[in-house]
Formats: sequence, structure tokens, C-alpha cells
Amino acid sequence: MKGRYFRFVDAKSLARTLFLRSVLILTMSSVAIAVEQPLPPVPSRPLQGLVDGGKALPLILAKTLERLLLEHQSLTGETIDVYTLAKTPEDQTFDAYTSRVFAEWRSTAPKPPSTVVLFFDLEEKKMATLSGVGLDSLMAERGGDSIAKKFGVPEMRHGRSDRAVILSTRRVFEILESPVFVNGKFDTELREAGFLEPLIPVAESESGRHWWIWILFGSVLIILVGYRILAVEVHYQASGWQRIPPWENFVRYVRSRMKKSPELITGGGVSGNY
Amino acid sequence: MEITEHSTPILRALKFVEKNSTGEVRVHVSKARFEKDPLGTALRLFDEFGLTRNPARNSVLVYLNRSTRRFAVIADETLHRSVGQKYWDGLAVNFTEDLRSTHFENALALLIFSVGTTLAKKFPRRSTR
Repeated sequence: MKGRYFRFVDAKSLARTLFLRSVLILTMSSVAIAVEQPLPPVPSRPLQGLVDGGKALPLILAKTLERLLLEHQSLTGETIDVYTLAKTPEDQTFDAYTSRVFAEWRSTAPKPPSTVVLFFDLEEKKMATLSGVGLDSLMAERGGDSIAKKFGVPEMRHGRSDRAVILSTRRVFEILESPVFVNGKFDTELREAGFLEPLIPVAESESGRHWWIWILFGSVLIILVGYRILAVEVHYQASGWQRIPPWENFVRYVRSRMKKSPELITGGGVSGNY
Repeated sequence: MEITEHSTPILRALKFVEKNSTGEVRVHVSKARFEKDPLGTALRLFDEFGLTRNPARNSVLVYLNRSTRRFAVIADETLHRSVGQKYWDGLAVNFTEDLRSTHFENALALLIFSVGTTLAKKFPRRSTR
């Protein structure tokens, strides 16, 4: 009984030990696999400057943009790259992924420090503008940080990823005073490629839609002026009475508003209501 | 501006003042709705119509706003010094009662006659002495 008891205990503890060890081994091995598993490789830097993974641009527009990016590079030695993603790879954040891609592309660019890369996540409607050592101060100084806020993100939210890419890239060209932008070639080529959209970002053009506030304000002003003109005023003196002409009445009112009220030094008076 | 001489109770009262004293009374009736301070408006009008230019400094301006139902009476320094603030306070009480009980033109005429009588006593025309 006693022996059987011990055998029973031994078998149970053995099973438990085996179970725990197997769990431990599985855990350790999965951790090891996770640690050792390398992140998926990022795409290599495009020679034409554009990776349109999110299919944001029609083909003709993409080709035109590539041509313009290349021309800027050949004229200035600076590289501007554009990368659109359908979505950020899973298990990576947008910021981390774009940082990795930027590091990779910058290291392979012809003149490493002078690089600007624009990233667009079309699903999450995110945008990042990363610039290399040679251009980051210039970009920061001239409002490069606000490109995403002003151009990229609002356009993507309006479902216009093509406008987001084109207007953001155009803004980078403008900031860098690219010869391609300065001579007007950028806009001309885009028009020729069929991009006939207004070049004002959607956020700005929406603010222009507040015209009704101005109409309302103007109407109220006109009513007040009209009222003031038509307000009847009659002046009586011993020689007769006169109705103050409407226009003169208005001029008098404006003058009285501009002029400080006079003071009767020693005179007096009284006021009341009925 | 064209001055109309069509006789009204107010004009008759004003002529009475002109005839019997050296003082001058003017009346301004307005219908401006957005007015904060009738006394301030009356002061501006007093200045605007040149009532301070009277050498005797005994002019009076009565201002009435029919929209806000408020009024103000302003007197120049010589007249005010001779009658005192109590006179104007009493006048305002009577004027308020008249405005409530009769047409505004009649109330104004009564006020002007009252002021005119005082002016005739204090500042009579030489020809009437």
C-alpha cells in the first residue's frame, strides 16, 4: 500500500514536471524565435523616386511624377522620394516602419544627407515627411513639418490620395526651391498629365466656403445703416421745425460716434423716462 | 435744411420764449432705437447745434426719444447757476407726468412754456422790461 502510494506520487510528480518543462521549453523557444525572427525587409529605394504601393496615382501621373523627381535630382543632387502604402505592415507602427525605410533609403541615395522622403499610409490616412541632415533644417524652417497637416492628411480624408501625393510633393519642391518648380515645369507637366485639379489644399478651400458668414455680416450692417438713415429726427427752433435729411442724419450719427462727447463745464440737466 | 414754419404747439411755445427772453430753447425729437444714454445724446446735440455759442449762456435743449421713451433736458451754465439742479428735477417730474397723460407735442409745449416763463423772469428781453 505504502509502495503503491509512493509509485503513484512519483508518477504524478513526474507528469507535472514533464508538463512544466515542456511548457517552459515551448515558451523559451517561441521567445527565441520571436527575438531572432528578423523584421520583413523594406523595399529598396526606387531609382525613379516613387513607390506607389497604395496605387494612389494613375499610371500617367505616376510616370510624370517620377520624371519630375528624377529631374530635380539630376539638377540639384537632392533626392525626393515618395512612398505610398496601401497599409502599414502588420506588427509595425507607421512611425517605426517609415523610420526604417527612411534609414534604408537614405543610406542608398546618391547623396545621402540630401534626402526628403514622403510616406503615405492610405488606409490609416497618415503621412510623414522625413528629411536628411542636409535638408531637415531648411524643411523645418519653411514649414515642411506642416505638409502632412495641411496637404496630405486632409486630402486623404477626403478620399483624394492622388491629390494628397501630388500637392504634398509639390509643396516639398516649392520649399526646396527646386528649379523644376521655379520654372513652372512641375505644374505644367502635371496639367499635361491630366491633373487639372485646383492646387489649393482642401482645408484652405473649405475655409473659403464660409462666405455665408460674410453675407450675413454684410446684411446686418446694411440693415443697421439703413435703419440709421431712416431713423426719423426732427429739430424744433423758434423759426420753425425741420426733419433732418436721412443721409445727413447718418453722417451725424457716424461723426457723433467718432467724436468724444462734449462736457458742459458748469451747465446742468436732467434725464428721465416715461 | 428746409425749415417749416407750420404752426405746432411746440413752435408756439418756442416763439413765446423768443419773444419774452434772451434765452433760447431748442427741441429735438428722435426715434433712434439703440440709444444708451439720452443725456449724452442731448449733450452732443447741444454742442452740434451751437447752443453754447449764445453769449448769455442761457440756452436749453430738450431731447425726446419716442422709441426708447426717454428724454433729457440740458441747460447752459448761466441759466443752470441761476435756477439750480432742483428746478430741473422738478421740471422732469412734471414733464414725465405730462408725457404720460397727453400727446408728446403738448407735453413738450408745456415744458417749453414752463422754461420760457423762468427765462422771461431771469433773462427778460430789454424791450419787455
